[in-house]
Amino acid sequence: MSIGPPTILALKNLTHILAIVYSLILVGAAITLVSCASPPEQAPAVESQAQIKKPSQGHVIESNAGGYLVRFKPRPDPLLVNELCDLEVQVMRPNGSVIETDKVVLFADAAMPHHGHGMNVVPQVTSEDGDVFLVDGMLFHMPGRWELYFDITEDDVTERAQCVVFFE
Amino acid sequence: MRCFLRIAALVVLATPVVVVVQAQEDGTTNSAPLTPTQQTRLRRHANLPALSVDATNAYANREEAVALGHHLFFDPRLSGSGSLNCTSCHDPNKAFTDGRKLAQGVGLINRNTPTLLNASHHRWFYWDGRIDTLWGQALEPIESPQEMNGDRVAVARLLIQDKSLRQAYEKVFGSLPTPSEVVEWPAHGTPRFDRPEERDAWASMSAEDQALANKIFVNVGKAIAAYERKLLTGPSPFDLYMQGLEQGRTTLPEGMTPAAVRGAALFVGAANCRMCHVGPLLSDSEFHSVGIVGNDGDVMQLPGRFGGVQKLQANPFRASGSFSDDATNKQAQLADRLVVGPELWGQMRTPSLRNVALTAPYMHNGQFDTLEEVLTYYSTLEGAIFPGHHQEAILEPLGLTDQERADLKAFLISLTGTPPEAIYLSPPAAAEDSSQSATSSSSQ
Repeated sequence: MSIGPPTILALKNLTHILAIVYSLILVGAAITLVSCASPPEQAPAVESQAQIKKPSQGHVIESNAGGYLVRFKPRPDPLLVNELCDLEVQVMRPNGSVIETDKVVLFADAAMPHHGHGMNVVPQVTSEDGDVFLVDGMLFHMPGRWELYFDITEDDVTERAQCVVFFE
Repeated sequence: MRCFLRIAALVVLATPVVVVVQAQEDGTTNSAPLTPTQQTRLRRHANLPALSVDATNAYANREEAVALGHHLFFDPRLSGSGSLNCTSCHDPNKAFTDGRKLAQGVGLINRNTPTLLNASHHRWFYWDGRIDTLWGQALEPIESPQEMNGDRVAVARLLIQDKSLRQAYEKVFGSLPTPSEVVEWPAHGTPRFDRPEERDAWASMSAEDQALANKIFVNVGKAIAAYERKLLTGPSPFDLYMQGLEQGRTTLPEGMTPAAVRGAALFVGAANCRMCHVGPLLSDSEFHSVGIVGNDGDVMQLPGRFGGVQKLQANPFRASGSFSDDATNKQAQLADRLVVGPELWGQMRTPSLRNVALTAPYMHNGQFDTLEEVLTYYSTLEGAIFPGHHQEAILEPLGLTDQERADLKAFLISLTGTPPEAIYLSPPAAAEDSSQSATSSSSQ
């Protein structure tokens, strides 16, 4: 079932985001990442880091306490509603240097808070290639506003990075 | 939910262009406006795609398997009494339902019979999703004591001993043992816990014989599934309407009325039915509680998905089980990764709305006789019970006007597709013979 590409938004400043969504719809944008509090997707400070090998493209969000950047790339890209998908994920220091997967524990999940439910499946997180996590088996089974969560645990401290994925 | 609706409303209101569809209704010209957003959303619900490969069933697309499954579907000898077959509940003349509030097999079953039309597009089967393979679904009623009350040993014996079935089976699945090789088998046997006598008999069989009976039984399911994959409906008036829009046509096809167009706009707009009835199947094939209670009480008696997940994970005929022809594919792995928790209590699978006008009565307990009653329920949610605060909360009374309910009903009627190929709607000649001989012998 192929249900159009989603819009991906950072959680903060919803009003600002809606305005951007509106603008992008009018110009026919298919997929958008808006990161109000974190470095933008094309920020040279991030893109210039030689350590970033994979995902070669994708979306970057900042964790809620600012301790990490998370870069993720959906497979397939764009995400499709009610279709199984995977995410390639890299966890980075705020300066953009990639953290090896054996240094942190990553948990990925998604929910529709306005509906009071999450996904019906638990994705599996495995390490791919030393510095890339593979989140296997995400299923956004309904259209609407989803929140995507990445919980990063390092040295017994857990920090969350999150963004909104809107499936029209 | 409210926030979502506000967002959706913003998107709709922000779009300045409106498409006007001209239509003839009762000799007058009517216009039914669809915004581009509505068109985009509706496009995603139109035109069922080609059926995907079923990797768990290597025989799913074999015509010989279809022929065997077609025969077995109509063969009452699969049942314990020899008087029931798959059509007892899935009657081709009733859109592969039974028209009953609750299904009636050997006993009364506490759920309404879902249609088999387009069932092969679903991810999970049964109202509670207790199985994830079409062939596994086909096997469950055969052995259920409330449904056909047959058993796998008797079914395997039938395939081995009946000359016609044996030939048809061996064309697809390879050689069967000779009747003399299974002469020591008990007449009946199954490992099911709810069939104690047959379970004892099953336990008396050698592991080798059990494996053989299981293999034949599973192949019966795979053949029936191959047949059921043919039970696809063709384009509906709604599909043709959407195709017409793509090609710039402004006239409505036969069966698509201006009221149906208005209903379609509501479906993806204010009524927001698309939240669960999403995609070309008009079902997310997932599970939700819509507040429908049991037939004889005011609490949700059926565990729904809560029980379904546990049954699925224990079912040997699941996609990731040892009888699957591809237990490693991504879809197969889903069953082992399902969330299990109290929020699943009472959740039932979203039914497809394709051909819904043909499949009354409605809801998992057959509570509503008509589409009008269903729409009135969603309009008011009168009598709805939601069992706990951990449950999803996506329903609010829609407060539909009489006109809106009529429009939505017109849209639902427009989802009726052309029937499957006629040859699949009646028994093959050989099955008619089997049916007559079974009826004749049971009446003697």
